[in-house]
Amino acid sequence: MPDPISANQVAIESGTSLGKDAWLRLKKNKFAVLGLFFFIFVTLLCFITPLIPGLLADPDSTDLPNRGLPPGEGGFLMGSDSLGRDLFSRIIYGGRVSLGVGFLATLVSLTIGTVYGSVSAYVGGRTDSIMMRIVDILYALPFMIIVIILTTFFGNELWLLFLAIGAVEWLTMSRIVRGQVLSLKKQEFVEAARSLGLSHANIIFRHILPNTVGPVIVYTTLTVPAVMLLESVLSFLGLGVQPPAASWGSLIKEGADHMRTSPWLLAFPSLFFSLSIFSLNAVGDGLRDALDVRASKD
Amino acid sequence: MDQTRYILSRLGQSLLALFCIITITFFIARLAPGGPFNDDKAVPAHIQAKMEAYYGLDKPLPVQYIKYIGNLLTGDFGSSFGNKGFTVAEVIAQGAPISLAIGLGGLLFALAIGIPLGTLAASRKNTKTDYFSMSFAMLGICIPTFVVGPLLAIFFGLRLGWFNAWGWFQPTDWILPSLTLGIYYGAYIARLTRGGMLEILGQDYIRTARAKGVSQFNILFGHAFRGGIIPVVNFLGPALAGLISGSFVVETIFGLDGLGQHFITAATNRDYPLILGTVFFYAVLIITVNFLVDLLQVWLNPRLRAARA
Amino acid sequence: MPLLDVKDLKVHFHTREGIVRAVDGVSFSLEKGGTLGIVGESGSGKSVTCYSLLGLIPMPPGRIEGGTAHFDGTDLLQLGESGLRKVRGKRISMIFQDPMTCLNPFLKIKDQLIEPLLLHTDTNKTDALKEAIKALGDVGIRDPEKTVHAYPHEFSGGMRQRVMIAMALITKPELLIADEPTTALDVTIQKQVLDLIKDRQKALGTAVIFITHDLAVVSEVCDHVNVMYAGRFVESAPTDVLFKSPAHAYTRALQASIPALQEKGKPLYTIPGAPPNLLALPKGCTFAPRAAVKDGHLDTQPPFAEIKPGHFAQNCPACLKISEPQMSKDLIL
Repeated sequence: MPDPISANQVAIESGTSLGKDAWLRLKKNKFAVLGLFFFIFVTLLCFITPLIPGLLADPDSTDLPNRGLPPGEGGFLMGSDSLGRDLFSRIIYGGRVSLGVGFLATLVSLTIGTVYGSVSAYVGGRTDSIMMRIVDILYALPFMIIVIILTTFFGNELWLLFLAIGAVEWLTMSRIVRGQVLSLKKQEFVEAARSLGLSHANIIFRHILPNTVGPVIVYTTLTVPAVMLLESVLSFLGLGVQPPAASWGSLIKEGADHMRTSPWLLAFPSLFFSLSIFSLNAVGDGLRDALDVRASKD
Repeated sequence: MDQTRYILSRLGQSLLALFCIITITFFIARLAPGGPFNDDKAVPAHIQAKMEAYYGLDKPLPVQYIKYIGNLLTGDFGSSFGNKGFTVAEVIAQGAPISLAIGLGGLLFALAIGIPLGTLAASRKNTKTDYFSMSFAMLGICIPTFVVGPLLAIFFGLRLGWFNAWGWFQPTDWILPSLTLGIYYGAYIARLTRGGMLEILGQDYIRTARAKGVSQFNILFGHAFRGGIIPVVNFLGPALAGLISGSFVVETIFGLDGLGQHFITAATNRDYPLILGTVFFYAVLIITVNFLVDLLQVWLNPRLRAARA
Repeated sequence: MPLLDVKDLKVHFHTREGIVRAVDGVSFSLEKGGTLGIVGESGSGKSVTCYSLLGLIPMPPGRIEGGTAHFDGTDLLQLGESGLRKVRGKRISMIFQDPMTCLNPFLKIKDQLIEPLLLHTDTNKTDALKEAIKALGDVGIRDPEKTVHAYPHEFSGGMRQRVMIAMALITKPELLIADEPTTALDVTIQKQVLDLIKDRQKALGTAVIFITHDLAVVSEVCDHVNVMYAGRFVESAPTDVLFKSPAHAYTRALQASIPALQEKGKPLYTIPGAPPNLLALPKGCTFAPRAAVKDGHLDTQPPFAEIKPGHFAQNCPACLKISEPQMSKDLIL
């Protein structure tokens, strides 16, 4: 129905800027706002509390007489594991690994994807179609296999883990950026920049990429949980972080092994992990709706 | 004529991709530090050298590579280092049926959960039904398979005793592993279906259909469905790749002796022939499915059909 | 008894920003076989008026707040979804603005053409296909036996609009609602499509409502014209009367903006300003902010009154003031 929509547009056009308008729309999405606050809370919890001395028990110190205690007993907020380690403390430290890998690997994928996508779209023509065909082919590859081979063969180095995951997760990002650049390329201010004799790199980095920020933010928000999931799968399979260090994935694995005797060992790490993923997805979905971003394939 | 050419060029691309995968895997595996016979078992150096010579591992890498590709072309995958007395083909033949069964079952569950749920949500957009379905889908995506799997095993396996919580003994043993995979991908497919259907339901030609007096049911399934499930069809390729990595997890949870377990063991033990064999098997599977998906897309979309013909 | 008799129709949209009074008290009637035009800028509510008769507005947010719409004795607004479904495509059909997007790209022409027959009549598939082929021939599509098996993307815009017309008329409806049927077409095609609708109308005895922003279309095909502005009719008269002696300032402005009627060599006239925001309508005369005559507009909603026999207009003294000399001076800027 064209009529009521045009009435809405009048209201929007006469009012707020795009970013502010997006924020107003995001604010109306309760899930997204709740998710945002929860995720910020969890992130701060994981990165700040270990810095305060005496607040957390050592996540690696074992206390065999007090093993397998349920939450609240023996001074363990969330119980103790099969070696008497403080579960809460392990979750916090594990969260640093999970979130850290999530952020860093996303950064890697963001960098690769942005450069690849913008170059492909900007150069265009045959190069573009070949580059995108490569992405199509890579999309269908079982990257988990490559990641597993990399992590088992080169040792369980954390930096390798996020490098490998980041190298896997850049595909969607490159498609998003490409679609955005393609539509921007046709616009007049790029034409103007070119007629002023600016270099290609200058046009891409100064004039085009800043305008792709919206969609990139949305997919960055959605990439972090995807990466965290990948990391947790690897840790679950015993191929990620190695004991005694923990990530949420490896804690869930330990919990699953003891779920009949000490169900809290599965419950708490799962809760932290799932709620974090949930909140990030809610924020990403909310942002996507607020900014009206879509992945374009062509 | 052009159709044939299109298929041939796709086939060429597929073979090229296959070749690249094998080559990359070969060199990653071989350039990594360590080897199959120098682990903690402390094999004396001269025995290690003998074993390496026996398997041809002492020759220069390019020679080994060419020999491997040559063998591959004749259908010879070599012998597994880790599974003594078994060829790689035999190990794959043992594990693949299990993995394929739970993967296929997972896909069926995913489609059976996702498509109806997504269609329902789209047809009742912004109602309680929609919010409920999508919250459920969001949960399915956010709770990883390695949490869902143990929960299903406890509930259906131990509490209710309907299925085995572990192992591969009965003809019903595929159900719980498949359900574990199916819930996750079903949630994803539900979201894709909803998005695709909403996109189509907002099109002018749906209004045309309503103006003709078509019922809501027929609008959904007669007019919107074909276009609406295109995102789901596009997702089938990546979904398969996901199901394969998912099967690694699910086989671990349910103690299944599938291909995923063989692959992980092979990777940890540097069982080069088995690694390459499984990777080859997965790659062929994925490339074949992607090819079929491509054909399905063209069949579904008359405009693509025209563009490719 | 008129075929369609709409009285005081009110359709509002309840959006987050507030209530959009898209249609706010509109009345009109149409005799069997007659042709009615509803003219207005986009956003004036002319499409919503007609869509709401068939229950085609999204509800929510849309809601029919009041009025009646008697079609052959039954009130369409009371029929409900299942009752309306029997009317849609059978007794009242519609064609839409953009033929490129109004045909389903995934279905063959034949499946879309025979659908109304299969839904609303006892015709079997074979006979329906024969009728579809005949209907395609009737709207001037060449080689209909072959083209009926094609997909929409194999057709040009004009051809698709012909298919739309064939599809709308295949059940021989008593009323055809044509929503901007020529707007998206090339100028050369527009005339052909209008002629085709007129031709089919004569052959089938169908009544037609033309929704358009183009007065030229109205002058060519309609017996009677309603001019719509901000959800209300501002003027209603037989076509020749409206063109010869337009009463309301908005109608005169619309007329002045027909390019063909303007002096050559001068900049084209456009109505200053934009249609009012339906969320916050001016209290009194809604056209006051855009009118050339600024003084003397009503502060309360002007009544829709019969100013001459058979000639109705929104009775705001300032809008009805005929001020020809100023008009040509002010309006042709």
